[in-house]
Amino acid sequence: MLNKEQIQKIDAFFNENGVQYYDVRQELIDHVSEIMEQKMNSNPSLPFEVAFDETVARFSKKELVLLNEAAGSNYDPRKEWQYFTKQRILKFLLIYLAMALPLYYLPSRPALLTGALYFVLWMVFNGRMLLAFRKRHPAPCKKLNTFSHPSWFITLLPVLYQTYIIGKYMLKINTETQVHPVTLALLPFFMLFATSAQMAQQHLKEQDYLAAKNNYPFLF
Amino acid sequence: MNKSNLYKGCLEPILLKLLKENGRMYGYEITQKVKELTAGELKITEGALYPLLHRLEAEGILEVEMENLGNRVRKYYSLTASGKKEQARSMIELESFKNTLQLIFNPKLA
Repeated sequence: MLNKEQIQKIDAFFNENGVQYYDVRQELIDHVSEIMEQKMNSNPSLPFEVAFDETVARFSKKELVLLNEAAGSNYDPRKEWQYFTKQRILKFLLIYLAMALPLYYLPSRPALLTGALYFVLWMVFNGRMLLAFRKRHPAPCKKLNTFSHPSWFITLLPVLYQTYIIGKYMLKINTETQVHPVTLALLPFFMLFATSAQMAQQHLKEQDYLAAKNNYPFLF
Repeated sequence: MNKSNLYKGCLEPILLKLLKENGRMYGYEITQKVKELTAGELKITEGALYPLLHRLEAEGILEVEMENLGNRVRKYYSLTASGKKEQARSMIELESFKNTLQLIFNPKLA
């Protein structure tokens, strides 16, 4: 069985040759270690360095970079949809109605101000949710493929929409501008869409995180 | 013609069949089993094997189990329930592929 330093040398080889994900490297390390152990067992006088050079010669940098990229591209966002159970969909629908109905029935000026209040509260809620998740799940000290699928851009959707509302209506709030109720009712829709998408991603990430923590505990 | 190109398209059914027969296997074990079964005729490279294993894992066809070996971790693959169905389907497809080739290269004379 190869010792810790020998394993670290193999790890460094893959890291230097484009395999940046630790979990992908671990699998290759096991593969290479097994080949080397067989070589060294059948020829006990074979030094580790010779066995190492002979074994890693089979890998080209190009092949390893491609292998790493292929592992990184395997994330399937459709898995996030598992989060949307019937109960959760119903809950989001009720929250949407509770938020949208006042915007729909209120006169323009109070509706715009209520919409702005919703937006501020949403920003605070979403920011706190993201920070709490990061606090609960500190990043591993090495990059893991299983925990490397970012996507925060969906939160831009309500921000852009609120900017549009501010630009089109709120800056002219004193000039009796009439806002179509549907225009305002769309704002909580975008907010809930972004928040639920974030929650779905966090739900999936949490599963990946716990699996990674179980498989590579010393990285956390 | 390079024989490895001919084998390339069959890698997935080969892998699924091995996992069906052996339960759970790890990467190196798969390469050795294929080498042994084909008397060295077919050698699966790491560059072909691992991307395929990772894709099948992402698609839910394979599930993984990790085992700590002291200084390193070993990743075992096995078929999921949908993987078992996929394996059966891939066998039918492969059989049909073999029959089609048979028609071209070794036609039965009436």
